[in-house]
Amino acid sequence: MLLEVNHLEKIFKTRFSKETTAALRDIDFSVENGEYIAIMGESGSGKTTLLNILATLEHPTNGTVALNGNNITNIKANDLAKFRREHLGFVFQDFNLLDTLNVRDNIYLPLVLNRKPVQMMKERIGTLAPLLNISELLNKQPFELSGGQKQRVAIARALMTQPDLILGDEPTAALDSKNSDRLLNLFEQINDEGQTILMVTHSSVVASHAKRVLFIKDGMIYHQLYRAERSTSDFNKEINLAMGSVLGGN
Amino acid sequence: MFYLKLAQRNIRKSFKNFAPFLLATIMMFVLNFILASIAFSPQLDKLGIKSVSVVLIIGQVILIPFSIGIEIYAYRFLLKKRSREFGLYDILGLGKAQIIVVALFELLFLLLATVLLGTIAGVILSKFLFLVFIALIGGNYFNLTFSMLGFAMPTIVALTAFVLLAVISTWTIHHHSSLALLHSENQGEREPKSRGFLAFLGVLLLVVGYYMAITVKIGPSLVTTFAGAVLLVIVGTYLFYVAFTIWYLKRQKRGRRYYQPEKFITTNALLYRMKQNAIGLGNITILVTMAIVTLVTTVMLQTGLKQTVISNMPFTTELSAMNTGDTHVGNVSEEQFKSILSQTEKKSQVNLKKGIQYVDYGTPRMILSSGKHVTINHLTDSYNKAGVTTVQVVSRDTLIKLGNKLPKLAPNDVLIHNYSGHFNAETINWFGQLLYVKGQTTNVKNYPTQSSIGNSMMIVAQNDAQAEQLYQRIKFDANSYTIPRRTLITNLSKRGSKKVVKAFKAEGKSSVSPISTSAVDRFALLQEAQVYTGGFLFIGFTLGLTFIIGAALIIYYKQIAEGEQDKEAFRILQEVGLSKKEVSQTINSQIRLLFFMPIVVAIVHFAGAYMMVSKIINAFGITNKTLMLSVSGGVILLIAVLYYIIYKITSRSYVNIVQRHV
Ligand SMILES: Nc1ncnc2c1ncn2[C@@H]1O[C@H](COP(=O)(O)OP(=O)(O)O)[C@@H](O)[C@H]1O
Ligand SMILES: [Mg+2]
Repeated sequence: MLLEVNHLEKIFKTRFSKETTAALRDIDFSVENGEYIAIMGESGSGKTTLLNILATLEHPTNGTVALNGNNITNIKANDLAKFRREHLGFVFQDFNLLDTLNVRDNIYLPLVLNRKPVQMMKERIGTLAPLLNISELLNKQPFELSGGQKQRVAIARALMTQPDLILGDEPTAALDSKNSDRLLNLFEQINDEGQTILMVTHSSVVASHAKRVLFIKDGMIYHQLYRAERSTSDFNKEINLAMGSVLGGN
Repeated sequence: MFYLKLAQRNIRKSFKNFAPFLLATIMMFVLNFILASIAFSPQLDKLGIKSVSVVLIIGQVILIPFSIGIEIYAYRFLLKKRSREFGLYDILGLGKAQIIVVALFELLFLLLATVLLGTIAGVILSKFLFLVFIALIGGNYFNLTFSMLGFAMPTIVALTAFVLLAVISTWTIHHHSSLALLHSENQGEREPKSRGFLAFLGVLLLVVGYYMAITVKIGPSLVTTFAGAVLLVIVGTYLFYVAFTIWYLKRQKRGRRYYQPEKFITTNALLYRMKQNAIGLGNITILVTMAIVTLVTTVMLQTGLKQTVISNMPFTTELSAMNTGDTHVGNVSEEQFKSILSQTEKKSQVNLKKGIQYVDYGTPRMILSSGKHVTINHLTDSYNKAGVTTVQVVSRDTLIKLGNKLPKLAPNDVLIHNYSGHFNAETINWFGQLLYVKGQTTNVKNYPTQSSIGNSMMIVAQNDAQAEQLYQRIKFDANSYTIPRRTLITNLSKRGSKKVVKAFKAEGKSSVSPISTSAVDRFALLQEAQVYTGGFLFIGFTLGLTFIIGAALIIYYKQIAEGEQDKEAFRILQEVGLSKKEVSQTINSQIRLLFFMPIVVAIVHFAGAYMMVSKIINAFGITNKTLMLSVSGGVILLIAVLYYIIYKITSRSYVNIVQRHV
């Protein structure tokens, strides 16, 4: 088991009022090596909160998350960053490329932080750049790229460390449908080569590219679907159907 | 008037956005106001000193474009925040022409507010500074009067700036589509280009400027050399920030150690920071340098002049009498002098028995030949002919009376005390008489010293008679004639000194014989010096403060602008795997570097200007080197502390912005 999430709860307290928000109530699921999972839910359902906890960017109020059997919710604050850069890769909605670095250096960044030899960086970018079709972009600055190009650069950056798990928060939200499709196909391709991916999204089209979809609402996972051998459009229909039936057909 | 109302309402509604801009324009107005008030003050002519006007001119030359620059910077900042609002108006159908009209009305209101509030704040602040200053110095030596020009200058500067802002505003609204206005986000920036030639030129200008400043000679060309060196250093400083730092960072990028985490992040971040901030850093550096120079000069004048008065007058009271009848009537005789003194004692009821008497032969300037055997046979009026030296003839007896230990001398033997270094001659041909130099007296105690421009020396003769004989040999002409004065020096209380001086002076008038008396009271002299330097100190004090406030304002804006950018970098680096602590460490070290670079460069600049500043101060007769060092150290420390406080306060606004989203 790659990832095990047990009874996860997250309650936000606002600093200046006594009000609290339960973003996550009781989340339970696990992920096997090589899976491609989409967690789907409406805006405000707790997706980003969940992902941030998996990414160790936030602490849960209760519950545990285990990666390869090690509980990651009680890693010491000082070791968190190291853990993140060695085990996880991120792909975010707004790409999160550093404006001050050119594309190549943006991709190198995680390995630089890991103090890896330049030789290794060159080798890995050598295989990743053609795969992601960004070989010609390496010497450009991020602002010269289109959204789709930026997201492919962000994926290259996430893959550089050969992470155990790639986490994506609405990775296609800032892309048009054509670029969005390309990106999702790319994810499938990467997954076929063995990379475990977990992403959260509010879109059934996006979710339909995953092998398994978990449905989240009000901080709880209430349903799941396996894609199996279905095409994405069939799977999309089924996802919509499941949403409809559970939500009472609105 | 609909647009007028709309403009009014906008300012009221989003005052939070307008406030920093208004703060900047008012501050700049106030700084210009204070500077202009001093520069055009009728009082300045009375003090009439070139170095002050140079400082004031440089101050204005820097401050005017600088304040216009700051205002444009602040306005573009405001415009960026407001472009969303403008975009919305456009989409709602207000039309670009109308939006421009609204924006111009807003500017008009802001201009009126700036001039009005700026004048009030300027008058209050300069009055306040003035009062603080008077309290510090303990007397009013410089009258702050406001002139029409003092008002007009800052108003013209503000008007010019606002006309430019109107152009910018019109252009921005006109040339952006409504959608672009609506999503006017930070557009990416190209990595700055490396300009090796400019980098080299910048360093070259700095080196030449320093060289000029260090090797400058006292003389008529001092002021022009000073101005030239300052100009070179100013241009060099901007080039240093604009080109040299970028050239250096680019070089780092090609280096072997580039792919190390700290270097990797810092080098790249600094590269962009430098591109955006080079001019700002240059401005801060120059302002801080000027603050240091101004404060050091004025504090030196204040404290140094006092010390100079004291060293020129080792005793509180100096009474002297001389014959003013026909020329060459000779000294006032000892008997005559005694009777004048006893009259003075009687009238003033002050005892003068402890006083020391001697004959002061004055300070004629003579031309010395060089070599082992020096010839002195004529006098001169000039200061800067070759070999000009001020020569004082003193009797060995006088120096012994003042507590000096000196070797015995034969009739034609002399000792030399040379104020400006070693005197190598073995013999002196003194107007035809051969004198043998028996040695040097390195340190003469208690004798009123000469603080003159150029070389000076003292010739110590065997005894009173011999000194008189040497004096008689001097071939005076009509211009250079100096009359020997029989002198008494003594230490008295302030009150006693005043009474004695009055009585002694009166004695000269009442006396039937053609003897004139003169008396100097150190207490009165110090008072006079205070009047003179007090004015300078006020100007220096205000200018220094003005420069510091100017620097603080740029720093404040820099912090806000950088906060907005770092917010992003902060978050991204964290997600990619840098810990919060590491991220804030890297960013802090960058900020610190950028923050303290100007003050370090300013201190280096000051070190370069040190010789020049001390020469200017020397020209006022202040030669105390340790005092100069400690005053410089003190001023630098003071400014560093002020700077640090500004850093702490402004970095709070930075931290607020950055932490809001982390
Ligand atoms: N830092 C926070 N402080 C307080 N409440 C928060 C915070 N982050 C998220 N929330 C709340 O938690 C709930 C879930 O938010 P989020 O995880 O962002 O949802 P999603 O990503 O699915 O749109 C929302 O009600 C949101 O208001
Ligand atoms: Mg979200």
